[in-house]
Amino acid sequence: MTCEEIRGKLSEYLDGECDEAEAVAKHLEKCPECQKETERLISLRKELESLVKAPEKSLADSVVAKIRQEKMKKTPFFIRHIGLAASLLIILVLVIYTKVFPYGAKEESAEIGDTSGETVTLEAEILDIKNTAVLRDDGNFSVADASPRDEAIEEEALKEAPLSPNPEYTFASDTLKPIDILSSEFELEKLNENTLLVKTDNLERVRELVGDNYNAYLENGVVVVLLK
Amino acid sequence: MKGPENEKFLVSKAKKGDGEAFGELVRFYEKFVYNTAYGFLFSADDAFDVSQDAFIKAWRGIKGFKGDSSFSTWLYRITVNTAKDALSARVRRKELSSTDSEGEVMDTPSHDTPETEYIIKERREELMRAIDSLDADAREIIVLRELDGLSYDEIAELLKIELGTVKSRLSRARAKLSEKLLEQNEKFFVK
Repeated sequence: MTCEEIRGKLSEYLDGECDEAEAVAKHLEKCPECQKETERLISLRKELESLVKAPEKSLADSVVAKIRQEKMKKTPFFIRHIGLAASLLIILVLVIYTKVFPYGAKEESAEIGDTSGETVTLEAEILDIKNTAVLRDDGNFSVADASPRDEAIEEEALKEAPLSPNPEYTFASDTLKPIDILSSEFELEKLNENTLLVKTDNLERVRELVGDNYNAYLENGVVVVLLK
Repeated sequence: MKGPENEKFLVSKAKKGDGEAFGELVRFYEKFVYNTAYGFLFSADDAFDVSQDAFIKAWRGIKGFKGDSSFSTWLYRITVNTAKDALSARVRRKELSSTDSEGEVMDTPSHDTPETEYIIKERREELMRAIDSLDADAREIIVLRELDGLSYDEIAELLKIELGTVKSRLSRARAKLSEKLLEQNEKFFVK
């Protein structure tokens, strides 16, 4: 083969793709010009290798992120925000329900204490307690202390009808808190340790239940009871 | 070029709108696409943007991919077309490729002395200019072989040409590139 023919095969020879590699090798052994050309090609290949790069950031991550964005844009607005819409709907239904049936919860839970087959309503119990209890400084009701009755009669009454073991008493205790009394009739929210919000505008009824020892007043349609 | 083993499965899932499956294909081909784009633009930022655009175009068009050619051939075509568009846009903006590549060379982390760094930078710029001056066929085959690292068979399949054509085209392209480099700097190959 001539030098020209050999040079035409040097590229594939260096890549290991030459079918006539032996002939090329033999020629190179004795031809300095073709050897020089071979070295030049090797050098060129090294230079080109230096251009090889890898992307600095992950293309896959950025492409997948873009695909997600595109998918989101194609999704109808109401489907994209269906979760939010559902939450708002539930809240709306609850708000309407509580406005339309403000005492619904009370009616359902008022009847309790059915252990002996006799239903005792909380309202009746509260009225009874109110007549026999006064509020102590610590915010608790004290049956013994509160009674306007004769002390001896009260002691007798307590002996006869101890509060604790009687299943008909739903708040069987020697002391009762306003929160216990009011919760049977109203929806409550304990704002902090000292303040109770009673969700009713019936201030008179609240005062009736908690007695005069607690400061209760009407504000923005709810009754505020100061516990201390 | 040879794709991932589960390429057909990933392509069929991507065609049904599975972005994660397409992401797997991107992960496999990202270096190939990036280096192809880089071979046209010689700018890391532009190559990244073009690669991203090419993949997004592929994603948008994958439903129309019939599988007549391999996925890599199809993706390669999209990449080359996107890179050519970006190159034309750059020319229109009259940006000099040497200005772009200057930043590239400086960005390359190196422990060489400033003098050595300068020489390396100069040589790379000369090389890029020489590649820029090649005709489209020569440039394409140089990029596929030297930057993408494809085998002769893979190039033949990708470009739909005979193996003999790959050999002769690559041989001519290398010879032309050497010639251009020597025209720019007659001592380019002198150590």
